[in-house]
Amino acid sequence: MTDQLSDPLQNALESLAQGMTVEQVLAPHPDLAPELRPLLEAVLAATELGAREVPAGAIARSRRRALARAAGLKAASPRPTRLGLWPRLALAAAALVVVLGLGLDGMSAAAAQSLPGDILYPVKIVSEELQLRLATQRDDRLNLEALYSQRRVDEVVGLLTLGRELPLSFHAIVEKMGPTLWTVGGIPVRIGPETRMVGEILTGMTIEVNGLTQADGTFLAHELHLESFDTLGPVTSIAPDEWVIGSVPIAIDAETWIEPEIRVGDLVLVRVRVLEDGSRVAESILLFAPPTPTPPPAAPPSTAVPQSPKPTKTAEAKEAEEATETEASGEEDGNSGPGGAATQESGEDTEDEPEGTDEVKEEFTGVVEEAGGGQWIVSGRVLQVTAATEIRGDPVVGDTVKVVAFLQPDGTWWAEKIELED
Amino acid sequence: MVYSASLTTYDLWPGLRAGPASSMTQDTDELSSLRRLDPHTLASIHDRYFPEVYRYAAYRLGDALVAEDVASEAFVRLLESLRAGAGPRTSVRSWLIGTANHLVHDHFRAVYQRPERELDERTASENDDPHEHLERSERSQGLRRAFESLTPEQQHVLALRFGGGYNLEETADLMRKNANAIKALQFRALAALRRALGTPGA
Repeated sequence: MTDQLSDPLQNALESLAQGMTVEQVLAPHPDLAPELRPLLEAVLAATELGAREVPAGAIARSRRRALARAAGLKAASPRPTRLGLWPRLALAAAALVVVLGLGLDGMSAAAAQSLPGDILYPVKIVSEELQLRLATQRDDRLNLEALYSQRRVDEVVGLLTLGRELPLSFHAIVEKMGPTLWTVGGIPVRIGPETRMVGEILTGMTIEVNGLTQADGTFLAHELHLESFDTLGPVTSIAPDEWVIGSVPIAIDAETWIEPEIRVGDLVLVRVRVLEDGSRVAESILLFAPPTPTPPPAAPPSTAVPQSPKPTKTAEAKEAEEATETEASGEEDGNSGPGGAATQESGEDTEDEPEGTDEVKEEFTGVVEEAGGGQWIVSGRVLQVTAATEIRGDPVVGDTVKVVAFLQPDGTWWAEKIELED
Repeated sequence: MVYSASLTTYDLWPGLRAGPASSMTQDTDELSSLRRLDPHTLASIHDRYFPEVYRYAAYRLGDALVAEDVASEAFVRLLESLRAGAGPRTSVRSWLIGTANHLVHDHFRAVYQRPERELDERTASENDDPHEHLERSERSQGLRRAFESLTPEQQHVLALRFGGGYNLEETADLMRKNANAIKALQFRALAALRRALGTPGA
């Protein structure tokens, strides 16, 4: 059939393109008209999808971006060669002049403001390393690491603002994932075909981004490396070298920081670090809430769902701890965790939980990734949806929704309400 | 949904009559200039091909914003490829459309998107009767769903023929196939689209 009709179809298309009517086109082929007519109807439909006007400003925007990229490429090559002896001496002399001119305090202040590529930037890094070595307390060290990590992000922003091209790396949380553009720690990160991804990266996870700041204000990623993510679930079993959270075994090592008094059945927040070989080790385990003795208000669905990384809810964790008056006083600092986990998802902080509640309730905002049946996925979180779930605004995949969910005894989350955001 | 073949002339299909804005010229001279990142050549090539690449991407994606991103990205990739010693040897347009095709694939692979929710800019107007507008919007969404049910290659050929307005030979060139293969492919694509849209009167 294809062979018989593809030529007449092409002829018909050419005739139509010359302005003939469908009837005129079909008239010489009455025998083929029953087959050709539906195809010409499909042509109409296919035509309706096209003929889009280029939006105003799109060409100029794209041209600007292309020219900026060209300028960046031009500036980046020829690649800076290793400096000869005299230029290096001249550079060192210039640095010395700067140091002498500013004095130690002034140099320290100037170095703090420096960006990668600046003469004083190595001073800033050495100073940071020194402070890290001097920090003997774990919390102090974690706080410093979080501070320096944020500084690297700020430096990238500074370089992008200045339009400087430099190879850099930084650590931050994935906020948005688009086809060619992600947002990581507030930085627009361009994803190319050569970008290498290590680990299954989802929104809300912490990653290391290696790449190049670009003149167009984006960061071109060469490699994205999954570093850590947070997961919430009940403790199913405890062993010296492995805990099972929900149904997921997570290795424990000497570095794992575990909040005291956690028992099987407790709901815990685990920061999972992904190692080079892909294995996963708990970095910290914090008590989120004690076991729930009574079921949540709605009937839980019977099907089990897989665990998935959950966004951190440090504020809620604190509230839950305060509500249950845990004896582990003075450990609030641990809640903040390395890297400032409270910012790790687009989810909004919830209002205060009612004191003494038996339910673990969570409210968050996220993007619908899968919808339908008894299971939805919103920003990587698996939700059980039943007839009792209130769904407002007819959200579909891609929509941003507000979710109110309750933790079930089996560790899954039942969605009480899913509401389309305006 | 029924698409009637009742219209008399093919005014909705200007692309095939007029052909693309530019012909399949050899771009070798410009390419050597572009390899040197000459801004004037770049601006000239960009402005010449951007509308074609955008229309192709918009046809495939049904989303103006993503289409703009894809089209723009194709030019950035062009520069990076040329600078790395790769990129097109003769036809810039073929290379750009091919890259846009890959970017569209990447897009569908990488993200969940909802083209059926997008309002068709061409039909949206403040003066529209809401009922009529709703009907058009539903039809547009149905059409988009039907289109996306086709294979990537079928979508590619329809986008070139009816989105880009390339003729048979140009399409064959862009898809690196012979004209007979394109004829067969467009036949299968249109038949599949018709099936996906449903039979008349259904």
